[in-house]
Amino acid sequence: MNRKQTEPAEGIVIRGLFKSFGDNAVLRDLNAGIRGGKITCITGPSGCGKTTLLSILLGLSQADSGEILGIEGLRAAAVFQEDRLCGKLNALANILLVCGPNVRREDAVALLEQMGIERSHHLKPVCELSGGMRRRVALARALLAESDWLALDEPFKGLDEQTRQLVQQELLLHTKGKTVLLITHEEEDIQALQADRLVLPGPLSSAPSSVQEPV
Amino acid sequence: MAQKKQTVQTPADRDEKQRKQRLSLAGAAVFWLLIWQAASLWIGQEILLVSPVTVLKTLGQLIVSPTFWRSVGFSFVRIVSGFTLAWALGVGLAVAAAWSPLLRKLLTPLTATIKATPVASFIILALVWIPSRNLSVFISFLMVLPIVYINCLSGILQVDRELLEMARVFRVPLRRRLLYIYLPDVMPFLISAASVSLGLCWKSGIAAEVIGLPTGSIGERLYEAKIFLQTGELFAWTVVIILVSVAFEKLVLALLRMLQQRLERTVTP
Repeated sequence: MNRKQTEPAEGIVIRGLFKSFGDNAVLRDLNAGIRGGKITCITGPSGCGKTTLLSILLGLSQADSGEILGIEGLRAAAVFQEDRLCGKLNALANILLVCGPNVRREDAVALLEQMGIERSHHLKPVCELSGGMRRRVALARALLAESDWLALDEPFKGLDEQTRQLVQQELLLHTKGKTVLLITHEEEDIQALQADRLVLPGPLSSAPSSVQEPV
Repeated sequence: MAQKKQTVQTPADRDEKQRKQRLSLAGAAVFWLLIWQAASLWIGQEILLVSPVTVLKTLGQLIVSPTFWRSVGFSFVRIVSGFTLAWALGVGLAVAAAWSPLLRKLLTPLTATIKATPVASFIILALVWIPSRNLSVFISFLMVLPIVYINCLSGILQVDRELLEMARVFRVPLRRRLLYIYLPDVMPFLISAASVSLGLCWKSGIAAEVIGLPTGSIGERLYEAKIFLQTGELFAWTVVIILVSVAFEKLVLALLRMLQQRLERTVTP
């Protein structure tokens, strides 16, 4: 049973986060509070450090300084900027490879179908699927994986309006009570998901990135 | 507008193509055997160039003698032992070096030296330390080790880093990472290492036996045939070495391909 479905998740607090690549300061004194058990959409112009922030939160890159509270030891699930699927494996195998015996095959099949991927595509190697289908497989993998919080980097990229709505419904259904950080450029996504908003300032802004009061 | 004609290859087409390839290969082999026979007849001295017919006859005489099988067994066990040891250590070192850049740096000049040094130098040097009975174990081991190490390391290093990060985030267990992320990428490198090293282990192993002359080995029989100018026997033993080496190569490659196919079939975890 997922702990986060019965207990309200605690929030994430980011304090004084700095990250630069060479001379390029991407995150400058970022202070933010993210409400636990809610969806927070991270927005901002290109190059403002949205993906870098998720990467730091996922433990894939190190911040130069600052601290992050509230996610230590928690299990993460993610949709990365790239799909990061095993190309030779089929859609189901990609999901089951990550989820293991915790997820039943029927549940994976059902979710893929609900996201608009027909059964005939489930057993094809994912390298033969369209970009939009691969994106949905990546999202289905993140939604089914056992996790305490989710980091989703533009999960609706390449989806048409109708599919986007289908996928958003599944996202809401599968992440109830979980903390979700979702990068998007679309205002409609924030509205549809009734999400909190975390706006990162542009890379040329000299202001520190204090964007939201810590919870 | 002209439509592009698409041809779909059926299994029957594939079989037919393979049959034709085998036939043309056999034709080429027969052509060179005829050239060999003609050259032998033209020279007219079997001591200089024995005919393929004589080689076949000598081979027939050798096969029925028990010492033939003992010699083949003696060399086979030692060369295959060296090969197996090299694979075990080569894969182990490659895994360790993939994790440790320091070890990788330390091993680079060593493997480069082994690859560049003539096998005869190693054989003569090793004879000082190792009894000639086990010389072929060491030499085939030494020749195969860098090939396995370098290929396996290249395979591990080119495994998709992004997939490994994904596996880390999702906390995918090591067994599943090995089976579904590492092995599919490393397998082609292992098959390539096998096809190169299989022939080499026999060539170097027999060379070690010819120089070290361990009693009862193929190398010793080859050397004796040369000393006593038994050209027929010399050619017959060479044919034996080629046949055993090719058979071993086919067996190992078939096993590796079977493993790879099995892996691809069981990709649904």
